[in-house]
Amino acid sequence: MYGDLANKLILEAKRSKNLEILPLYKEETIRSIVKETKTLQNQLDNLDAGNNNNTLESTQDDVNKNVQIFVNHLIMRRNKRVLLAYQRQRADKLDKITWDNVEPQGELLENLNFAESEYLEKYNELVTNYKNEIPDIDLSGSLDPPSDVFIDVRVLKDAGEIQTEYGVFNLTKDSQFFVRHSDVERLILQGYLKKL
Amino acid sequence: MEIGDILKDLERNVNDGRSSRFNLLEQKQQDFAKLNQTWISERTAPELLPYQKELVDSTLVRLRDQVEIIEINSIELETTDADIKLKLLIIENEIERINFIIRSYLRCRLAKIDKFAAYISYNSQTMIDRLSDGEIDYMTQHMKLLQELYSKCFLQDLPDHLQLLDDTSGGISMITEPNFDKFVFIKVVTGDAKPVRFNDHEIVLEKDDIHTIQYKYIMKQLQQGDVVLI
Repeated sequence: MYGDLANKLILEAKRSKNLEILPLYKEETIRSIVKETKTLQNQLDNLDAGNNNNTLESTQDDVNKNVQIFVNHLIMRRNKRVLLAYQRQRADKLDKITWDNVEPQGELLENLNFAESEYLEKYNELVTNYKNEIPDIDLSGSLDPPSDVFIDVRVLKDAGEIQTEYGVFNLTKDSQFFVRHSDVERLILQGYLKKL
Repeated sequence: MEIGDILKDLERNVNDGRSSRFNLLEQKQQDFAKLNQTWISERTAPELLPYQKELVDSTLVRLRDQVEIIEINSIELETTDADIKLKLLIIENEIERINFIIRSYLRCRLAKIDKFAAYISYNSQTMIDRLSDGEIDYMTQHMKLLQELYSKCFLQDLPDHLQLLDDTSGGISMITEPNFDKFVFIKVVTGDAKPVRFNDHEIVLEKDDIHTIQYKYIMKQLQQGDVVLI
């Protein structure tokens, strides 16, 4: 039935809302929805053409026709909204990836379609430009209020040496350090370190 | 900022008169309070508020000074006594906090800009004037990128009359508007706030009163600074 595909897509969007990674782009479903919308438009055009022939008489036929036109319009608009909602949700996820400063890799990139990879790249550029205007503040840092300047961290993966104002740390697996939070925030995000 | 600033003044041991130093200190304290309030308001208000350029800029300058103090002093950290370490720690804590407030403030604005981009740019110049130059750039570019993305993915294949992104016909507007009906907590800060009137109700706003009220009824008093969001 008309609208079923769109329903499927919006449920997919809802499902992926809470997922860590972005699922595969539903190219086929989207094509089908676009096709369905076009079919509906063709029907509309035909109905409109038919209407012009006998505009004066209002028969049961006309009422039926008008209802169909109305319903077609509704479904087409709904299809459009669903498509936009799906795409916006994916774009928002890509935005978040950009702000989190996670290097996009592997599976994620494969799940994007061409336009989306392009979007990700350009948005990254845009955010970098915006950040450059306020270089003193790390805008993509944590949005949780800071508590301690220094924290205990445990090294989960070898990360080599890092240089801080308080000296050089050699981050070997399973070692523990007492370091300045802002120095290692990036490493925590990237999964090298764990806050204790 | 306060503690850091007091320390800064001690560090520099400026030779100017006592009173002017006190004024400067007071000024900084006021700025910090204002920054705090600006941040809280932005986080609680449903719509985008005017950008506090001067406040942010002057705070950034002071932050830079603080970072400098740390850099200068940490070089000779080994030789100096423990007192300075404590001072540096306090300054650093202070920097982290200010950093966080500004970051949270700007990110909160960006989130609102993303959400209401269509509303802001189609509405009127007064809304656009509330943005900083960087934010205007960000908004227009981001809208353009999204539009490109939609077009390439499906929008260009839809029938012509469905291609608009700012369509308001058909019962559902595509332009997301801020929810002015949202309830906000306010505190009255001046003695001469005008009472709020709506639907035959009148609420007298006395100093230090705290109310919960729909945002649309309190906008005027907020703009005039008679009440603040909390």
